[in-house]
Amino acid sequence: MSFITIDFALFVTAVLLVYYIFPKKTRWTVLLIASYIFYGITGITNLIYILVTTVSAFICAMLIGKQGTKQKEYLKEHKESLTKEEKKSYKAGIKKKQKLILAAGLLINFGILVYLKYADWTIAYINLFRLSRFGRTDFIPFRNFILPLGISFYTFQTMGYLIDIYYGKYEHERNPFKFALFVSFFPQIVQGPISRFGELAPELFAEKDFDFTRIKSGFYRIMWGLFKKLVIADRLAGYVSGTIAQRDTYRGPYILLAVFFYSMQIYGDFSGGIDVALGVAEMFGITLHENFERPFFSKSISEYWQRWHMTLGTWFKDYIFYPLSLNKGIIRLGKTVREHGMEKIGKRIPIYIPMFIVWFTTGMWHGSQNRYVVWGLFNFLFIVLGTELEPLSQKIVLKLRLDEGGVLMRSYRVIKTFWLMSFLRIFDISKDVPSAFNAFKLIFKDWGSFRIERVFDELSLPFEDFTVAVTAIVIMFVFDLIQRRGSVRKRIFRLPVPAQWAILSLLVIAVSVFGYYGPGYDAASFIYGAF
Amino acid sequence: METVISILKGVHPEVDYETETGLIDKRIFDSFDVVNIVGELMDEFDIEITAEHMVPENFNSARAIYDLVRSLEEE
Amino acid sequence: MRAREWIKKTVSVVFKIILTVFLVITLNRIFLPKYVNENQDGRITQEYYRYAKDTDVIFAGSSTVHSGIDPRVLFDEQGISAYLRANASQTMWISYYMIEDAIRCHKPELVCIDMTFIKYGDDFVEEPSTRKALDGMRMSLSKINCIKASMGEDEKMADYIMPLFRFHSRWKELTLDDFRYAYYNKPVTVKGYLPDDEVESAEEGELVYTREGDTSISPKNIYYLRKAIELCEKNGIQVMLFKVPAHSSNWSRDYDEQISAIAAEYGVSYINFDDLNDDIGLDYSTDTPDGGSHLNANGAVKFSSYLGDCIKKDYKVSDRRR
Repeated sequence: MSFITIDFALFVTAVLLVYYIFPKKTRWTVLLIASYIFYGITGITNLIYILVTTVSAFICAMLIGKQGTKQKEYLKEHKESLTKEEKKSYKAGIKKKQKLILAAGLLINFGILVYLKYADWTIAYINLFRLSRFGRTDFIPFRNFILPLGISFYTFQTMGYLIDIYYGKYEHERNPFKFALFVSFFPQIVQGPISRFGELAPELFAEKDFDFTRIKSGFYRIMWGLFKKLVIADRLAGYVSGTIAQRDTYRGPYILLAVFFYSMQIYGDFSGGIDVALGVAEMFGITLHENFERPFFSKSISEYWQRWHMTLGTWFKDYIFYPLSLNKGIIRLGKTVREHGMEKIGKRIPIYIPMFIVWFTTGMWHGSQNRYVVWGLFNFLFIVLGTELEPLSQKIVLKLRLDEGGVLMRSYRVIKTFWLMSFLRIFDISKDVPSAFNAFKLIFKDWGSFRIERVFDELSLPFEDFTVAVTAIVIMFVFDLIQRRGSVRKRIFRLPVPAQWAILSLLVIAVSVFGYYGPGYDAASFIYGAF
Repeated sequence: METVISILKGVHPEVDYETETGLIDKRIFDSFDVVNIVGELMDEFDIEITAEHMVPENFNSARAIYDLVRSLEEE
Repeated sequence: MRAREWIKKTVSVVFKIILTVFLVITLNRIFLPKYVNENQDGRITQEYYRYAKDTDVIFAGSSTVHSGIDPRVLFDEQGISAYLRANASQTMWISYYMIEDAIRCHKPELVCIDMTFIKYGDDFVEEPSTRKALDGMRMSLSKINCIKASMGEDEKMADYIMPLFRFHSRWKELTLDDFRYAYYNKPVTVKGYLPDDEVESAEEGELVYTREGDTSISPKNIYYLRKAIELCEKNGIQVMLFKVPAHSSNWSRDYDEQISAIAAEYGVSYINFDDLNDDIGLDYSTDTPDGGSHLNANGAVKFSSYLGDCIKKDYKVSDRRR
C-alpha cells in the first residue's frame, strides 16, 4: 500500500479512530496491529522476514542484557573479595560472551539483507569470472528476489538497537510486543526515518492525551509532503528519465537541466515521503526524527551529508564510522605510521580508512550495482579533497580579501556543493558506470542547438507543466527558508482562522489539482466515437 | 590531569589548556585531532571510548576530557 | 456562559464544514468536462432531472437511441412525453441503473429498452463513455452500484465520487465555460435527443446481418435485461424491448431469437425495427449520418413518427397535449 493512495488515507483514518477510542494505556497495541496489517498487505512472506528480525533481535538483546545483569550481581556480591585485576578479567569474560551474541544477531540479520540484496550481484560476478577464466557458459541463474518492503530500514533500525544494548546504552525492552512495534511502526517502515530505540520507544508508549492541534499539524505536513512529491517530483520524472535515455539526441543543456531537475525530483520525492511519514506519526502524537534539514543550503559536502537523509548518516556514523575509528587496531596503526615520520598520513588513518568503508557501504546500501559503489567512492573522494584543500582555499580567500562569512562566499559554497552533489546523482539515473561518465561528458556538448521549445514539445514537460514545476520549486525553497526561523506550521496556527483556512485550502487545491497523478485527460478520447 | 594535558600538548602545543573551554566550538581541534587524542587516551588509561561519548561537550576543555576519562575508569 | 461558548463552537464547526463541502463541490464541478460545445452526449444524463417530473416514457439504450428518436415528434403527434436516457456505448447494466434512477425520481408509464448494444460482451469497458453517462447522475445508491458494475479494472471508485481526481489535469485547458457552467446549465439536448444533420449514405443493397462468431448474449447482459424487466414489473410499469433501425450488418438473427425468448417469458414484446423498414420508409441514402450505423435528423423524424404510432397502439400512455 503506497502512501499516495486513497486506500492509505482511509487506512490511516480508520487506525486513528480506533487508536483514540482505545484507552491510553493500550493504544500502542492498536499501532502494532495496524503495522502488521499494513505490512501483511504487502505480502505474507514479508511478515516472515520481519518476524525473524524481530524475534532474533529480541532474543539477542535479552541475552546480552542478562549477561549484564549477571555481571552486576556478581560484582556486587564479591565487591570486597575481588581485586581490580580479577574484576577486570571477569568483565572481559562477560564482554566476550556479549560480543558473541551480538555477532550472532548481526550475522543473522545483515546476512538476510545482504543475501537478498546482493545475491544476484554476486552471481553476476561469479558468472563473469567463470566465463573469462574457464570459458564456461553454464551460467548460474539469477535468484530475482523481491526485497521485502523496507527491509533495509527496519534491519538498520533494529541492529542499531542491538548494538546500543551491547554498549549498555539502555536497558533492553522486556515486552516482545512493544519491541515488535518498535521494529514495524508502519509510517516509517517504507522509507524511514531510521529511528533510535531511545528516541522512538518513549514516543510510542507515552500515554498522551488526544490533541486536535496534532491532527491538524500532521495533516498540514502530509499535504506539504504530497505537494513536494506529486506537484514537483512526479511531474519532473518523465523529463529526467526521458532525457537521460535519449541523451544522444538531447545533449548539453538538456542534460544539465535533467541533472538539476533530478535533484529537485529526488528531494521532492524523498523528503516529501518523509513529510508524509512524520505527518502521519504526528497525528498519532508520535514525533519521529527529522531526516532532512534544507540539504541544498549546505556549504560543504560533509555538511550536506549531515542534512540529507540524516538518520542514515548518523546511523553510519555511530555504528560503523566510530566503532572503526575508535578501534584500538586502527589507532595503533595510525600511531605507528606517525612515529615513523609520516605525521600527516598517520594522523589521517583513523579517519579516512573508516570513512572509506562507510562510503563503500553507503554506496552498496543504495543499490546492488557498481554505479552506486562508484557514487559512494566519489563522495568519499570529494570529502577528502574538500578537507585537504581547505587550508589552500582559506589562503586564497585571505589573499583575495574575500569575506568568508559574506553573502558572496556563502552562496559560492552553497552553489558549488549543490552542483557537485547533483552531478554525482548522474550515477543514480544512468544504467551503469560507463553510461554515467558518458552522460557527464555529453553535458558539455551541443550547447548551440538548445531550444527550450523542444523541452516543452518533445520531452514530456509541456510549457504549462514546466511553469508549474518551476513555481512549485520556488515555493518549496521559500518555505524551506522561512522554516529556518522556526516551524512554519506554528506560525500559521497563530494567524486568524480565515487566513489559516485560506492557506490550507490553497495547499489542498494545489495538491489535488496540480498534482501529477491519475490517467490524465485526453479530450480526444472523449469525443463521441463509433457508437 | 597531568597526563591528559601532556597528551593534548602532544597534538597542539600552543594552546593554554588550563583556561581554554572551546577546543571544539572554536575549531581548535579538528576531527583528526579528536580521534588521535581519543586513541592516546584509550591506550594510556586502558578505557573504552565509544561513539556515544563523541559529543563536543566531552572534548571542549582539558577538564571535560579529564572528567570523561575518570568516569570511564570507574566503570 | 458555558452554553454560549458551546453554541459559538458548534456554529463555527458547522460553518467550517459547510464551507469545506461547498469548496469541494465547486472544485469538482469546475473540473468536470462541461460537454456544452462538444461531446454533448455527456449532458444527457444530467438534463434528465430537469424533466423527470413530466416524463411518462423512458427510453434506455445507446447512441442509436439518442440520435434516432426525436421526442418532439412523439409529443407533437401523440402527446407522448419521453426522455432518452441513452448515452454513447451505453451497456445494458448502465441502462438498468438509468431506469432504476429514473423510477426513484418519478415513476414513468412505459420503459423502452433498446437492444442494439447487447451484442457486446461482459468485459465491455469504455471509460470515457462510462464517465459521460455517469458523471451527470445524481448521487445515490443506484449510482454507486452502477459505477461498480461499469468500472474497468484500473479505474477507482474514488475517481467517480470525486471527479476532480479524474479530471484535475484539465487545469491546463480550463475555459470560462468551465466556471460559467459549474452551477448553471443551459440545456443542450432535446430531452436526451441530439439531432445529427450530417448525411453519409449507406452502401446500397439489401440489409444482411453478417455478425459471426459467438452470437449468444453474454450472462451479464441477460442478467441486467431480466433485472430491468423485473424492476418495471414490480413497479407496474409497461416494458417494450426494441431495436432502433439501422443499415448495419453488425447484428445477428440469433440475438433476435434470444431476446424474443426472454421477452416472451415476461409477456413483453420485442420489435426489431429493421424488419419494418418498408413501413417506416427510411431511405439510407439520405437518413443516416455515418453510412447506416445511426439515423440522422431526417431519419429520426420518420422513425419517431412510426414509433409513436406503435406505442400509442400497444401501450397505455398519457396524452399530454391539452
